[in-house]
Amino acid sequence: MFWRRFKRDRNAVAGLVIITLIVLMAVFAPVLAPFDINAQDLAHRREAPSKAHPFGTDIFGRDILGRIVYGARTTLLAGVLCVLVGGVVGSALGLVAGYYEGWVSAAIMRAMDVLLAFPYFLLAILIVAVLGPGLVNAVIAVSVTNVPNYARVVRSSAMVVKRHEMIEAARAMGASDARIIFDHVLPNVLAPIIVLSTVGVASAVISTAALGFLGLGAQPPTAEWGLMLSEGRSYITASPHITFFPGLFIVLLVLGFNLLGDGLRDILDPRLK
Amino acid sequence: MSELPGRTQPLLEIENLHVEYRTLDGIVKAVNGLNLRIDEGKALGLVGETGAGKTTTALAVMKLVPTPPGVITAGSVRIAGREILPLGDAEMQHLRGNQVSMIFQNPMASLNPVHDVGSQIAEVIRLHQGVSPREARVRAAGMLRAVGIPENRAGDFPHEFSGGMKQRVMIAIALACRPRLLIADEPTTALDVTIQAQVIDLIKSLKRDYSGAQLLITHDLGLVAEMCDDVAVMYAGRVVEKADIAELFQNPRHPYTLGLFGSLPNLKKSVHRLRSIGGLSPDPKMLPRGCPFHPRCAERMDVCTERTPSESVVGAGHTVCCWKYSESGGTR
Repeated sequence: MFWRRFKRDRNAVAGLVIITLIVLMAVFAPVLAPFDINAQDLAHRREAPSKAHPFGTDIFGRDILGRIVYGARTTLLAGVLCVLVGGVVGSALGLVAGYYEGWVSAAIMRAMDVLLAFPYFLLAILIVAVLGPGLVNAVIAVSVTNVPNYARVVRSSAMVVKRHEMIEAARAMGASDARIIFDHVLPNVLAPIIVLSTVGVASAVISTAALGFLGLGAQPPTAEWGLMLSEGRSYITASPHITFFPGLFIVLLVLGFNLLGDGLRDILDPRLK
Repeated sequence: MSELPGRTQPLLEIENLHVEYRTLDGIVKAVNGLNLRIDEGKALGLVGETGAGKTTTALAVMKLVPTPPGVITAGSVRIAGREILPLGDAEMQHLRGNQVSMIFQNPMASLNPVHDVGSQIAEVIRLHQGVSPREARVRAAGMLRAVGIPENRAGDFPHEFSGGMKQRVMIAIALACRPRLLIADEPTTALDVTIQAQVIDLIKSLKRDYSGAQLLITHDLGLVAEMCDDVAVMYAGRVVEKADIAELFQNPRHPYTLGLFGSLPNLKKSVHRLRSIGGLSPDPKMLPRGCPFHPRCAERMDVCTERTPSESVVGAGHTVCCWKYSESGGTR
């Protein structure tokens, strides 16, 4: 049923194909790039794409294709982790806030408003500045900035589901609050969470890449797409291929997740059924 | 209700129950000093107009009155002799679905669309009987069979069932733990007429095997005659008349009950136009002084606008709240 509807949505299928290819690339990185991607070859710096180096070499003479292949691991993992941590924490807060109205809800949502009051990227930079630069801290920072989005969306959905008769029926059969929240409310608010997550991976990839570009995310010599962009920026006119390829892959990955997310939103929206 | 020798132990006893909803536009007095009792093994029909407080009464018995804005302000509710109003959440959760179950008005909305029906029946069994998930599934399948749905449909989801079948599933959930009291809140209102008959037959036939006493809430006097032993007529949050079925249908006393019967079509007599009760039920935010029915009552006396009548016994197990039948009040 879900799968049939999914197959009819060409954009979503295209998104899924792009994501699958990038995931396969990350999984089979050692096969695709069977050499040391950090090995410098100063004799062949900033070489344009050729047979030996299809995407050319960077300022230290490292193979860009190999670094992109391995970079998929870092970038993908960072993006997914941000969404996972932000999504789980945000959804849990949203569920609790939506189910218990009154002061619990007010306290949680005001805290979320405080987070939302900061420009999203400024907040991430602030957190990295406190925790120190590095990929792990960048992931934490982006996760925290994601939390309020999930909390708000899940809370509003939970408030709707909570007023449904089936919740009263569940209470009449003797279910406890925790059971009602996780067994009856959560599965009914899963659709918005899934949609938000797929689109969220895209923005998390951009954010971690941007932090990497600013030197606050992954540290050299890690292969990470945002960091690679940053390393090539001084040579953008002389050797555009150094920035072009990591940029292209970031665009592809973000595009893939956005297409999939939009498609899922249409498919999972019960009003369109 | 008078104590007659040989009467069984009351399973549900409600005394002087008051429930109000404190809303921004004022206090809605939904239930005002309600007294009710159901004996073991009996079915009581609670009838009344929309807004008379029937559903609020049922929710109060399960301690499920939505709070806020609802508050149970006074009274006592005893189930099998145990006072439930002071009980905490955990104790109530143990009671609900286990000793007291409820079937709701709208079966379409009462099942969770994301779980298959088998696991929804199994859930209540696991909650109360502490059996393994596998055993609960087996018993759930047995319950499905008991309500006339083939076992192999346990893995189907609610949207794959018709309205009548969903109500059967709800009945299976409500009866799975063999509750001592089953509350059915207009169980057939959302169904069409032929399905109504099936559901009624089902509840009647399962009553013997699965549940002790029943509280049936409805505005359908025919349904009450079909299913119940006793009737209580509710008006503006109070029981104005109660008696056993035969007595009430043959010998209604309260002007409101008489009005209800007057507004029913009768197969034996041809009536040009059905009589209706003039006026509307009172606004529960501003109940009239004295008897709440007096503004609509054709037999109003002076005392009716002044003081609220209390219960008077007018026959065996037949009580009425009306000054007409009160030995002391009517003359003053």
